[in-house]
Amino acid sequence: MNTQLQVTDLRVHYPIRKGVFRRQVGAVRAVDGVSFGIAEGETFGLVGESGCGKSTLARAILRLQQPTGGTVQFRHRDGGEIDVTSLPAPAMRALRRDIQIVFQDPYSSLNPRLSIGMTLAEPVRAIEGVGSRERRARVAEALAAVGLPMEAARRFPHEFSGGQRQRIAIARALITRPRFVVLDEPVSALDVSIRAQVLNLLVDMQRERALTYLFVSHDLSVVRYLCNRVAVMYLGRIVELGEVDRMFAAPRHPYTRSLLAAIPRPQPRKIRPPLGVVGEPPGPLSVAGGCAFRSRCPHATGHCAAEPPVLRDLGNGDLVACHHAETLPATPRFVAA
Amino acid sequence: MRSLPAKPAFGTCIILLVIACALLAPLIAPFDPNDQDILNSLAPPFSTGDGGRHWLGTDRLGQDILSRMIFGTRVALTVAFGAAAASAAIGVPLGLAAGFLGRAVESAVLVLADMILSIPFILLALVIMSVLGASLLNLVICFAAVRWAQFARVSYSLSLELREKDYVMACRAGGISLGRTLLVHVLPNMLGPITVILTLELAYAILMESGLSFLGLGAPPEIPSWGGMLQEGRDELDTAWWLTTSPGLAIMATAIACNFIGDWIRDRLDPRTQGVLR
Repeated sequence: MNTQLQVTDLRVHYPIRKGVFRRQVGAVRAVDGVSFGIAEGETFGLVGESGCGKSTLARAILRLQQPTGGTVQFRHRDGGEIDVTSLPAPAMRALRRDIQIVFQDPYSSLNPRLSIGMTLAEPVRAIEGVGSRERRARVAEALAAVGLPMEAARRFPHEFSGGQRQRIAIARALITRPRFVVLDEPVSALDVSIRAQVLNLLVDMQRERALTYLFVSHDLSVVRYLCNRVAVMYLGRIVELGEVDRMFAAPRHPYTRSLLAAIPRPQPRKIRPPLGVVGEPPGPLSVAGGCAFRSRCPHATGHCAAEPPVLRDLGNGDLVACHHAETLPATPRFVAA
Repeated sequence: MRSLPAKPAFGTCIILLVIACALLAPLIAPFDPNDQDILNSLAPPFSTGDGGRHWLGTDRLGQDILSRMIFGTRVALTVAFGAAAASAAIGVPLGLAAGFLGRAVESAVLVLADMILSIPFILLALVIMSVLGASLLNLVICFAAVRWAQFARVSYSLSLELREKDYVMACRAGGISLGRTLLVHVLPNMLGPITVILTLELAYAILMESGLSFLGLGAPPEIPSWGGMLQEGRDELDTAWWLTTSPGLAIMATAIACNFIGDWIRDRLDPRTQGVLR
């Protein structure tokens, strides 16, 4: 299968400036050397707790945030590859037709002063430059695709519920007929009762239009439902990457284990053994050598402090960044079959 | 159109009255505002003078106060609207530029605005007006040269808030140019707060114009203005209250009217509250 998007050693560092002359004294390494590829038609999950850099990474791929280093190779319609990070502005604008995003909060992602029709027509006008009649037809088509009536075009965002707004945001992302869509926690702000509807809509759209998704989330059950492969991020780095079913059945990294163990279970009275992960993430500011997770890891040794673990293949194509991945105790069953 | 709520209705009445006075001044003023009648100086309200009744009395030169009040609306309106509009026209684009065009522009605009706002307005105005000379146009220039900073700061802080909004991000993701983003997606969402500042600035300009006229640096003496009338009446405060009462009330009423209208416009511009007001 073809690779739609290849991220290589991507970095986003925010400078910390101090003093009268705003001298740079350090950097917040929000994304620190991340590499992965997404195959055409795949849904690739990106999970991690708040502040681990997953949204920053998603925005860097779209160049909404300029990366500090690394490349993002995107496979074009004609099969050629282009590096998104170094594209000049006009070419980037043309490429935006193919790469779109759906934001987390449907209440802040729609301009309250524009009618839905105007909002949807904006990207068509900007990128494709088509006339007003065709724009109207495209808006109607986009609304119909997400299951909203035609007359929604004349109404304003505040007249819609959260789920409807998210449908509108999805319609806006899809109206330029992109090939790759970043879904930045698209259902986290929605009621549980609405989530399934929106997720099913996303799945339907993917099937109809052969879309490739990057699905950013902290909700593991949603990731499991939707994604083919998943990458787990911790403090700006990927700690484990692999097939979603295999990872959920047998997580290799201690951090992934603790994440999976935190999923609420339908049998609350059944006592599960504690995993020994303690405390909060140390925060991206503290520059520590070695493994970033070692301060919270029950299996940490001197080796973990001395040398940062790199992602390595454990033999089945799955990658994990842990020195002790092979010698960790057998995984308890995390997810009911 | 349904009836307005009480406050904007009151504000609109006052402002319409002021505008009507300014437009029709020569027709409705009972006297020539500069006609002096020394024999009839400091006449109290309702006294009869040479050629008619002085409803609001006369000043030290025997000039009819009502007529001077009516002609004074011209100065108040010209300066207030001119000053507020000019300040906004300079300040809002600079504030947007500071918010969206990177750190160099940001520092330049903010440092300049802070410098200007840290100097008392009257002091700056004294310098500018004594260099330029007293005229209505120079008054407007003087206000715009200083008060743009207020608009720049407000629109800067609003753009800081708005540029983090997902719909502004979505503009970039949708390939929409920065100019169109600012014009269609950012500026309209700033109009509410900007309108409020605008009306506050209207009131401020009316007050400050009075202050400058009071100091003899506002409207030239041959043009009747509310501030100038306050200054002339200052010496007679304990003997002839009507010299200062009428212009004082007029300044207050106009300033309040501006604020009432501003609040109402702000609510109207917000689509979320439109259903309530309709």
